[in-house]
Amino acid sequence: MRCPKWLPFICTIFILLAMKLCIDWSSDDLLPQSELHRSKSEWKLSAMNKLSFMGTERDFLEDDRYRTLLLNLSQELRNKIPVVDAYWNRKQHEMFQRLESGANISMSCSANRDVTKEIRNFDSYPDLYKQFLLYSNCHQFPLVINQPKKCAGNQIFLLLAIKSMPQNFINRQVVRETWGKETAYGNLWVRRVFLLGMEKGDFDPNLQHLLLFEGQRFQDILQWDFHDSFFNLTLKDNLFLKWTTKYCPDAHFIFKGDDDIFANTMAIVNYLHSLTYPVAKALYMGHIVSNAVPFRERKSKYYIPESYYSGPYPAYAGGGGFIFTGHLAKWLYLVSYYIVFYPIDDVYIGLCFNALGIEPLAHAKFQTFDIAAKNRDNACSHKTLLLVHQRSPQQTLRLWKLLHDPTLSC
Amino acid sequence: MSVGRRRLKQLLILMMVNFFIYVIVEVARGDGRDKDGKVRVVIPQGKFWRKYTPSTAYWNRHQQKLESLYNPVLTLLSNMTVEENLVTNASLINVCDVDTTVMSEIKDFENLPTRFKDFLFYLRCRNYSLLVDQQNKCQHKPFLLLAIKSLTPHFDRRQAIRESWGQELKVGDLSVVRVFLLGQTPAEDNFPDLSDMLRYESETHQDLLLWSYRDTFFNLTLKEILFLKWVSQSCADVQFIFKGDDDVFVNTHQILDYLKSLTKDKAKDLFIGDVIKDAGPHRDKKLKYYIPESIYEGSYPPYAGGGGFLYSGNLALRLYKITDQVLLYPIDDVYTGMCLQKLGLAPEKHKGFKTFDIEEKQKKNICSYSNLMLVHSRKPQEMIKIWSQLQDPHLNC
Repeated sequence: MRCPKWLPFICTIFILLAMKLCIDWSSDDLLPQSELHRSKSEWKLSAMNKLSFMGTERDFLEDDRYRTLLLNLSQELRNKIPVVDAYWNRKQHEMFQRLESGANISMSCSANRDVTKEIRNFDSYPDLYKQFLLYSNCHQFPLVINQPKKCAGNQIFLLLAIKSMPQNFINRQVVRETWGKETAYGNLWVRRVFLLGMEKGDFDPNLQHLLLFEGQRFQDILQWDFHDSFFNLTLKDNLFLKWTTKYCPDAHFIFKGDDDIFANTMAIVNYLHSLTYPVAKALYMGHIVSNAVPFRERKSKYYIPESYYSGPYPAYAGGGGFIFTGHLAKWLYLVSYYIVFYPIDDVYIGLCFNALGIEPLAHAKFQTFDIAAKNRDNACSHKTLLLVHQRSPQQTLRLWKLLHDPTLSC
Repeated sequence: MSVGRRRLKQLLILMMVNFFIYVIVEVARGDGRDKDGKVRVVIPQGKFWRKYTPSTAYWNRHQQKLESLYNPVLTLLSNMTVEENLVTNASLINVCDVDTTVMSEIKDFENLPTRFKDFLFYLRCRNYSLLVDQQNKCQHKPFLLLAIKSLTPHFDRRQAIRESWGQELKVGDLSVVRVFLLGQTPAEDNFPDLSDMLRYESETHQDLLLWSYRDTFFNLTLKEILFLKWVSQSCADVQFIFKGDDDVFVNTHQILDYLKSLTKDKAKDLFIGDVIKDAGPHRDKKLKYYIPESIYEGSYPPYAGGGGFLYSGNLALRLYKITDQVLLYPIDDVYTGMCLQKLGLAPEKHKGFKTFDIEEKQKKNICSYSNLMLVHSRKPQEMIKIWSQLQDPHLNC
């Protein structure tokens, strides 16, 4: 049978229209729903805020009040993690039991040999995975480069925490000159830190002298003594939360993102400033990934073996860049004691927020999966965005210049 | 191929050669004699020299003009020496003001990509100052100078080279020294300001040379000329020079062994690398190496791929002198080939230079690296890994 030439054309238009409507409706639905969740979490948070967190970690771990609180909060997460034979699921449920019984959490930096027996096909895991599993109980790493006075002085409105790697000198300098400038928007101060581990591979060139100089010169490098690798990003998050708790507990908001993104800091500050107190108080916002499941493709960077984790992920904000309320840092840090490290950092942060009972808030102007290819060089398509991943250092500089050109007309 | 076919082929070639010789002999016999067998003198009927016709391509046309300035016969006709002629025509040789005449001389100038416009506007400028120098680099008359083309942000590549194949060493009375060649990375080319970091690096390692030109792909030719100038002024006693990219692996030991084995004669004019012959400009606009017809016509002289080549210090001095007579060309290795041609030399192919990499399955075998001189491309970690494996005293290849 032959169909007229215009038929496929009309069909495509209908399909596109239907998709557009569908997207519009679903995003409308999303907002009130998350508001609903928010009111619940606000209640929980205000309860948390009544408890002042003054002591050290040890005090916290031994204080029953915090434990009971976390226990209550974690119920939701507990229901979401399927009780199955996969290693992480098992370990996490053990963790919930410890939380209930008040048993101590063991943190050890020696290789955890048990894991080789507890995962039936451990030998078939990729090498980097094996390393991660053997040492994922080790959370204690000293700071090599610190910025203890980063948040002294003015009240910080937004702290930019940017995940970087030692060799990414050009990325960091571009961030300093563009969206990561330390400046005040009105009276709202923005400060910046880069989060780094160390190059510990046998064949890595030694860039440590240059990094020490960079840290002195720009006062924005935080470096810990662990091997900077993809699987250690969760550790990096964890150490940063600990640092914030100690050195920057009063920042209103924290932005965590990559060093290869383009962000519109002024628009972010304006947006955050416009939030009402109840929303601002417990914010976890970004490009929200819902109903995601682990990648089972062995070649993928995000590969998760079936024997390691089973089940969907709770909704989380894409790690390219997301924002949360500053005073949540200490709570995230505390709850992370009871959540087994997960090799993918943004999923892990999502789990921690879930345990705190805070639902993520989707914002359409966070584009961690990038915009349409044809618009990527167009400054006007970036004008209203808050964040887009991924841009090369030179693209970011170019876009920034174009967007700050007074003759730009969009 | 079967034996029969090969025989047939040989037979055919033999027949063709015979026929060719026959024709030549006949023509030679018939030409010199008339019917009586007397010897005839041939007198040319028309002009026997090629008439000067300006080329339609901009670069060729201006190269012809430049060559006429250096032509001793032509200058003699205008009652001048070459030197006087150069002084009177100084404006054709080294000017750093924007040359706007090019806009009218090339018909499609407006449609050229910006990189070509920038290049042509400053075609005659090679006066750039040295911002970071290493004056004492060559004070002990090094045997081998490693000159590595780098770009400011490549801190990790430079460090990996320092820790691997680019180590400065002294074996007996032979020493190896290293410099990285850098230009400016300004904000208008969308580079951030890394000058503080670079200064620190330079103070720490004393191995950076930085000039004031824009570090772009087309300006690699400037990098070449300014480096040759630096060698002439600050490193004239060096015996050999390796010049290459910062993403290659070089087996420095292999190079040293090779250089030590050379005879004096061979060493003087040495220029080896991965030689490309019978190449010409690419006409596909999407390519990095694209050159429009309106800028260059003709083929390229034989040249050694810019990934890395090895030549004698003496040749470097002669190359620098001849650069004045060759107009800047946007592709640096081709330019060096042009200069060599002007000196009456040609680069020699050496199979140890693998600028198009080695086979995938060979890469993991360390022994594939023990006999080669250069391979392109390798990451910083790979450089250090290969180097450290090659140092293993138990290595048995």
